[in-house]
Amino acid sequence: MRLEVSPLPRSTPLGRWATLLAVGLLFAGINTGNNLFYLVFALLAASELAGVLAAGRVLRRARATATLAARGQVGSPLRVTIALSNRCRRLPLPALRWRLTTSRDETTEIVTPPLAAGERASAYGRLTPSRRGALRLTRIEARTDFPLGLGRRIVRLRDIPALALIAPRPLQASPLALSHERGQAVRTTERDERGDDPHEARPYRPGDDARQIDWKATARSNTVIWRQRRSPPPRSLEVCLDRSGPPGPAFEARVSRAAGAAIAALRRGGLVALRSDETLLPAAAGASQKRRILDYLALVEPAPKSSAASRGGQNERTSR
Amino acid sequence: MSGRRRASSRATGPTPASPSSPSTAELLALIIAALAAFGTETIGPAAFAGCVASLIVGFGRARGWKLSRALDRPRLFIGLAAAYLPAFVLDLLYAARTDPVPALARLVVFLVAAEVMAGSATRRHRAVMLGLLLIIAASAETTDAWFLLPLAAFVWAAVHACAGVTLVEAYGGAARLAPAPRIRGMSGVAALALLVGLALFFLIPHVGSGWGRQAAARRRTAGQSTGLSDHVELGSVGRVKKRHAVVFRARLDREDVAAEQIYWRARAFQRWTGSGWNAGESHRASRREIGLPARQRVSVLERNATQTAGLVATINLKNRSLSSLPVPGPPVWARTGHPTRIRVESDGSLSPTSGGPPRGYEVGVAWPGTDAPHAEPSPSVLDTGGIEPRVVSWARSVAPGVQSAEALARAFVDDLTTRAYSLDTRQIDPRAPLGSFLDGAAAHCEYFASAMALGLRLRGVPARVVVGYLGADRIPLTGRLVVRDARAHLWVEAWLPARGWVRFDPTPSAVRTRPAGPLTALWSGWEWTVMVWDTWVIGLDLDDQANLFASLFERLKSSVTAMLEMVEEKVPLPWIVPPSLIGLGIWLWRRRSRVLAGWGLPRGSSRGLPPHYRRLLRLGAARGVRLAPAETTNEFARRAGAALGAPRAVAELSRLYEQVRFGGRPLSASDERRAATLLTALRDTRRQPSRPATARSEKMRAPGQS
Repeated sequence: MRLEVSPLPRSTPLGRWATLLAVGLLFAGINTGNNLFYLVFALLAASELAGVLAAGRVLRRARATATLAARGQVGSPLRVTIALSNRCRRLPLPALRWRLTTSRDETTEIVTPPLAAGERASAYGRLTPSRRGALRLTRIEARTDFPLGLGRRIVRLRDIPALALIAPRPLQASPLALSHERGQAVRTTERDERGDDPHEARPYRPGDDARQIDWKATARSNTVIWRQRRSPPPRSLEVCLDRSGPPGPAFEARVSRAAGAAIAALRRGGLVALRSDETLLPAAAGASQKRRILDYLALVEPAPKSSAASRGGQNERTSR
Repeated sequence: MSGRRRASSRATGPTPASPSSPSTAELLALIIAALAAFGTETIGPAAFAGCVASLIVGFGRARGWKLSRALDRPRLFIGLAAAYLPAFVLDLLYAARTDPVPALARLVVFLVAAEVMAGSATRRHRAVMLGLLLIIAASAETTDAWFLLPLAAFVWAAVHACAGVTLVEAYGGAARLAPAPRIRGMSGVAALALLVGLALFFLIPHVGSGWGRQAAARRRTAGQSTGLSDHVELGSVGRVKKRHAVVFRARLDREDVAAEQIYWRARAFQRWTGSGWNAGESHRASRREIGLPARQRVSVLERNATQTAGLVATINLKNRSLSSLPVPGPPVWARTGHPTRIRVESDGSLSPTSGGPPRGYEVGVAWPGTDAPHAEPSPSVLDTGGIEPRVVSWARSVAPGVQSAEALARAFVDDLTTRAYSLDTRQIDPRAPLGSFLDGAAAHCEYFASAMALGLRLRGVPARVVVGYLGADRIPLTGRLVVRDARAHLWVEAWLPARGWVRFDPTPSAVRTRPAGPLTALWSGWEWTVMVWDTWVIGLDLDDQANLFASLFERLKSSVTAMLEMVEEKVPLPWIVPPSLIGLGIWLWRRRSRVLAGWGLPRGSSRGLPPHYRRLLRLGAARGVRLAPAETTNEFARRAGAALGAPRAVAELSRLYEQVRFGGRPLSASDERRAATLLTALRDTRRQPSRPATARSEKMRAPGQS
């Protein structure tokens, strides 16, 4: 990542005092004809010049990367890391207080430590996003008075590729919002063969698990009845997101409830599908499904009026 | 040196005991400044001791000394400040009559003590700035060459002190929790600052006329600063000889003149006062004033004199409080750049009028003749009023039977040149200075010349003493001559009936030159340093700068011309072109990675990319698939995979790129091999479009990888 250093230093309070002192020295040199005043003035000016050159050199040779966690959640701190390496062969790199600004004007600060020549270090900070969506770091900037404190250089990180998807804050979906239309259940996987629900009865064959012999049925008949059992069918939740309506708190609340319902179901081990008027994420379980759903919900926008008019306001539909 | 550190909310490293305790570099800068001020007598021993004590206490604060903790009381300093304020006002009022700088320096010392012992952690530069003020105050009080050493040392320490502060200032109030900075590389910055500072010093036009200093000098007795006043007291020239300030510089029109043998004649004195010499009343009556139009030669001789100038000297006065104009021989004519008036004394010397001496003048002198003009001696040159008995007895004992004036003068010279020479005249009895000198006490030129002049008068030979300068230093590079205070000298002119006033120098010349010894080279080196310092630092003015740059330009021009001529005449073209081409080739080869890195890629898109992804971009660019602005990696991978016919390979390369770029994990060796394999497959696919790239890339997938 490119480090852009301001070409000219800005003045600092100390630099202004030093300038005042330098002007006084020049006047004293003219007044008295004492060349030592000229010499001290020249050394003062040269120190500032050498400081500017040294700071420019060490800052331009430094390399920095800003890394943003790829995914985050509204209201949860997002880790931001700045890795810095001092590629200058002799000069140290000062500690820098980086001010990070996102595309939504959220800011945070990270202080990287001073680095000796050739050293690398990283520092991290936390950024708490307030809205869902794609989060970009638009500006990463630090200021330093290094080395003499007479001039201030501004360092900016350019070409920042750091991008994070901020998922909505999951809200507990209201039970009233959940319908119980069993007929629309979607089965996407087969049941597990182990469980308690009786499924199939047949005469016992050698090799069958003796523990699954149905003793009651065996008592009623003359043959040993073996009963296959299986687990109840996996819970499948199809979350339907209604994209109609204007953007605003109501829409955001719907998205948050959808995220809450999906996450809760996935946490219970269920299958979750997501449906909206523009997409269908097939039912699946696990972390990858959670990521897919949250990625979609992070970026989803309200539908235009024409496409949303025909759809109802139901958010989530659960089925079994 | 390489290392890897991770910063978090807690940092490690040595921490100072107190957030406001000064760093070692700050203390070092302050002690150097205090030493410089003390060495130049800007501050006295008491102020210096107080400064050092406060620095020691400040040093102890960083290490938790009990004494330092006991004195760590801000109220104590508020009380001290309240007590010192009226004292400072009185001090300033008292010192303003002579020199206010020491009073101001004492105030700075007090502030240093307050800053070091009760300074704040947020304004850490203040101690260095106070040290700078002390250095500035010291520079107002000295012109000595040794001042360069504390000046350079202060720059070094101040750069380190400031860098130590700015390195961790990003931590704000928690700077003491910051890792200890390593600031070894700052010595280079300090050296650069010194070099650039010296260059700037020569580049800044020294336009200062020094009117303030001139005004101060006019208030003082000129003789105290130059030795060339209307009178000379025994010992005054000796005091002048201990200084090294530049008096004037000169350029001669002849190269064969030995600079060390030039007697720069300023003023002759005829009347012995008992403790010194003055010009006498008759001398004042016989002098005349002449006007010098701008840039015109005007004869300074008497109307009937017919001397011709054999040597022309262009003299530039640095010490404008001189009461006589030094010339390297009997003056014949004079010329100045601006209209002015000068006085021609009866002894042939030139002196300024009430308008002050001209800044520069050109004078033609009789050369190689060393005699003064043939003016008849006045009766006062035989006056020996107030003479000590010991001088009388000595004068009678020298060459008792000799009657010839010249032989007698040479006998006196022979006698005196065997005596001890020293600038340290503590052995001289002030009640009988010449007597004690003739009894064996070591002394310098004033005593030698006075004794000889009086001795000659006692033997009936008219004699007078002449004050001026002996010898000059030749400046390297420009060849100009520099005369400093240390070359102030007195000699004797005796009236010889056949020749007029003839110069005799009774001061032993052998002891004026330093005897060879183990430290001779060292001393010579120091003297050379002092001369360079006096010439190029203390005495530098606008004329010197113009001459220097003109000289450098001429030398550069001649060097370039000579080199071009040598190249044209001696070095054949084949000796130049192939080495140049080879050098260019080596340079290009060494920079090939940078030059070729962005070849074929959109401008600016190749920076910071892993090599394999850069190659992928290049392959895509060859197929017309370029990374669009704001296009994500996956979007590009889908597009490029379709275009290149190998979506899996491109996706895997993109995944490796993401691993490096966003995951912070560098490619392992197997990853790099895999990337190389995929890239080779993509390149082959591009060459053989008929074969399905995905199939080939699937074939080349390493076993065990999905």
